[in-house]
Amino acid sequence: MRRSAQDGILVAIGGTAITTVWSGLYLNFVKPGLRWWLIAAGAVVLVMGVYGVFTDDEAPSKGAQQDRGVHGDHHGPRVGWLLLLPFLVVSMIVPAPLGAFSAERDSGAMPSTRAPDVSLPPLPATSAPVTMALGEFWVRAIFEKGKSLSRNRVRLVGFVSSRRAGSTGPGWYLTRMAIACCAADAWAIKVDVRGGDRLPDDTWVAVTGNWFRGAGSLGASEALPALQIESMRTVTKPRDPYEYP
Amino acid sequence: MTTELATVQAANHERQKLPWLRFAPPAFLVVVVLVRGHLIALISSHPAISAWFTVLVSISLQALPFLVLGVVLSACVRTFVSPTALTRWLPRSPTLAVPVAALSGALLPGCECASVPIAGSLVSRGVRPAIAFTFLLAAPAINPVVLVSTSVAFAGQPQVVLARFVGSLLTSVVVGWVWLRLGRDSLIRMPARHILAKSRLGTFVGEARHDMLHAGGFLVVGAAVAATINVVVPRAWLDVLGGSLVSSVLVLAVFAVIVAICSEADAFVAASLTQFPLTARLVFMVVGPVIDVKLFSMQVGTFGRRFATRFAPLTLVVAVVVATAVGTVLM
Repeated sequence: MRRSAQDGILVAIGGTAITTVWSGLYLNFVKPGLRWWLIAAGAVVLVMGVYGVFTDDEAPSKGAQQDRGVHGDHHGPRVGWLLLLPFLVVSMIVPAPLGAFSAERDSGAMPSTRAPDVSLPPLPATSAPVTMALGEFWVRAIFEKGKSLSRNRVRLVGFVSSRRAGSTGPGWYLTRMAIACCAADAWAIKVDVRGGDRLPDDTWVAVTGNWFRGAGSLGASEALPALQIESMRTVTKPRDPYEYP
Repeated sequence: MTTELATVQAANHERQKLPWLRFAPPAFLVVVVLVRGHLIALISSHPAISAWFTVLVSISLQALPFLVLGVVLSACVRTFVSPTALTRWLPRSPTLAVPVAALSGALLPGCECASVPIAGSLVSRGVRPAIAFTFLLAAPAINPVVLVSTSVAFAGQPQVVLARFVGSLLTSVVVGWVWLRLGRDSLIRMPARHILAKSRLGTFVGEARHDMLHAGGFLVVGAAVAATINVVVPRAWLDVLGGSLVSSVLVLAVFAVIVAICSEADAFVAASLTQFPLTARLVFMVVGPVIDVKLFSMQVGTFGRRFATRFAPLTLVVAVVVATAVGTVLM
């Protein structure tokens, strides 16, 4: 691989890392806490590439000249080209965040080890629906057995996923993917909903409704919390599509 | 010098056979740009392909900061640290140097992507391979960042954090000692480097550039394998496989190798695998940082295939045995 190609790859990677953070696209792939790390790493790689473009720092040694004279491009590992793949993909194809496909391959149950040590504060005494994350709804409904949910209406935002992979039957789950670090370790958080329209998979919706005691045995980690839908409408995909533990 | 010459000649020979190969990457780029619209349509209509790309990109993006950290540190070692300084800092007896190297792994707050280039630079600076490998195995598993994330994932179970620390430390020390006694360092083939710069800064950037492209390229290979597993094998399969302690230990050991989750995040995954006994989940957390598909790919690139195909199984076996023993005793 020629020096110019190596420097070009470094500039491309560094530049892409910085612009994905700038545009917010990085939230499709990693947790927001990596923001400054990505900017710093991107800057280092970018500077390395730019340094290489503007300096011809290579000492004229006999071996090096022979290399260049004979085949011109013996100076870099060819496997380095592969590094372009993920960064090209980001800027050209712009992959969507993980959605119904991944969710349908996961049970959607939250392990009891994720139950917080302290109980969550009571919800405000209001007739307006309380907006909360699906993870919080899970904790209140399953781990706290719905104690704090009985009086309030809640508003949840998530996407539509089928009960079984590939099924277009009437039942569906309101779903959100959660990640610890990056999308490779994602798991699904699902809420069993009753009522509301059956929209296509991966449609983002805001749902308002009441928690109710679902069919599953209460407190068992396999049971999903259930919500009776009062009203729902489609919304645009949130800037940050994931939830975090 | 002879090996280097042989490498050059081999590369030369190959290039004469396939002269068009050098035009392949740029041509590929042009094609990608031309068919971009079709590509996007194709991918968005196939959720599995779309998920594959998302996972590939997220592993690469997440690894980038750690890769850069490792590459910069290893370029520092190669450029500014004299071989004698390193050997003076370690105990003279290699048997003693192994545990010292393992404990100093706690000083590197990164994940496995950072430690491969650093281990490569240590070997090139005259550190005995067994000692460098001990550091390579220990650093991603016992550093403070990983231990804190483990304690967050297993809230209220401090014995898990302790067991993880002890298990990973023991694994790296045992592998180090075994390699010291039985390993053949002649298996290691570090690729020839051609960094000939006029200035110190030039050497530094040259080393970092080489490592970045080399380790990074192999990282992408591993990430592609892990993304394929992620898309092809549903998590629900694990539910079927976890049964007895023996089978669940083996299942999670294999799972750790093929999913290649960063050591800073694997504790959250382990915490979610509640259908498995705690000891099996400890095995998952001890195996993952020392050997997985992306680490193996990077080891092949840095130390050669013949080395990696022997070192990786050794690491896997030691990690499984040690973690099972530690889990049984401590938890």
